[in-house]
Amino acid sequence: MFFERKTKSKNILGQFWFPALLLVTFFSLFALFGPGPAFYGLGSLFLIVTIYPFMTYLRTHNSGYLVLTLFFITSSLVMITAPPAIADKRNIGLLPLFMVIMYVLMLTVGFLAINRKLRWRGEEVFELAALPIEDIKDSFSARPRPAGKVPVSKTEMIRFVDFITKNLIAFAFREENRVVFVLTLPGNDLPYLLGTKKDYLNDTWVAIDYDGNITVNITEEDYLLFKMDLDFDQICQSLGDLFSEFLELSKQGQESRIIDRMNSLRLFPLN
Amino acid sequence: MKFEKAARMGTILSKDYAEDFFKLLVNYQDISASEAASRLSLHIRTAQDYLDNLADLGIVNKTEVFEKKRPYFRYNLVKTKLNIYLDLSIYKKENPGEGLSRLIREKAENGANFTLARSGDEFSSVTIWEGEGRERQEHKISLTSPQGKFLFHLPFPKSRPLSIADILEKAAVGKEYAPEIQSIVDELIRQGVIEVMP
Repeated sequence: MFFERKTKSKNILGQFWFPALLLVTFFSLFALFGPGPAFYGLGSLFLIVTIYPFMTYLRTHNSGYLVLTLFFITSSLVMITAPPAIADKRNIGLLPLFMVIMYVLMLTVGFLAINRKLRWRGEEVFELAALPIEDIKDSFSARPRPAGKVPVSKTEMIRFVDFITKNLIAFAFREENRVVFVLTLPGNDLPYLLGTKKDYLNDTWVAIDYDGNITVNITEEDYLLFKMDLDFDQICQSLGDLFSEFLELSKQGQESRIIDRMNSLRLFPLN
Repeated sequence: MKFEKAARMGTILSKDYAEDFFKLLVNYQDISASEAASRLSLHIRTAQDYLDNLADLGIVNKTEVFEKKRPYFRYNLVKTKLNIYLDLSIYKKENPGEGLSRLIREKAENGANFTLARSGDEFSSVTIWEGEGRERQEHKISLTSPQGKFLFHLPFPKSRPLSIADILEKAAVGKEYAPEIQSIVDELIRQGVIEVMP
């Protein structure tokens, strides 16, 4: 699908901070203390970082993050078992097995990353919502907007929430009378995953109550992600319509079409 | 009776010396300010002002008399029954004309902050910043449930304006709430949060 992007691209260099941190840690420790501490240090770092994908898996049940967790754990095991093997080849132990598993997992993680299965899809949702919108100046308002109604049963809602969360489309807050889907952009998910952010009011969200009423709230910060001043009323309505459409597809058991719609945008995986 | 006149009467009657003053006025054919002041242990200026206010309201009659060549005023009671009657229904907002047919929408960059109610389908309050510089202060208006629902459905800036009647219908707010809706709309128009479109 050919389309003109309406959201701003993020600086790609921002994606490389973690590999850079690993390299700096490894070579600094290597230079200061030798290979053993360098491998142990890197292994410890991998182990600490494992918390992030593991928390994501626990909260979303996204299998990609389980693979990423296992990759970090085996990478850590490789780093921890490597120094004795380097010192004495007879102490090779389980290192080859860990390395094979690590490489297999690394390839799997790479595949998932290229297919954007490890990224929160808030950006794609914004892009889809903005497709039909015209630009108009000074139309922003910092208040939620009702955006229509979609018939939904509690069972259908539970299924929809599972799908949206598992596929990293939005972070769901279940409330007494409604579910609030917070659109999470890559990098903004950590406070929610760690449970340090329990209030979504200052974020962009779409709420659907059990009567089917849809309400949309877009923050100024997220509105500024668009390259032009899109008609705010239209973008809110479009975002509500998009979720209504997603919910309808989910009710019909055609969730794969939701993913297809997002994939058809072909956004750059590291963007 | 006009509200201002009723308010003045209320002020006069609320003075702690008012009853004693009226007892004098009822029993005297006429009385001067100095005579009343001396009887009630008031300052002459206080008694003078009180009697002048009663004269303005038509409760007493004020007559200029002369003692030798020095003029002064004497007051005599003309009304022995006082009624305060106010018809508050005149303040009720009228629907026709400048009422429900007005096309409105939120004004761009108004600086107001709408707080979402717990139910998630209405606002509980709207906060507006008033004044400039050091005088700038927060003014929080708590909303009734119908007002909150109405404002929740208020069209965004630059979007197609809707009439108050249409927004009431969209928000499922009954017409019986129209007066309180118009009251908050008028206030928010005054505060520059809502604009009326021609």
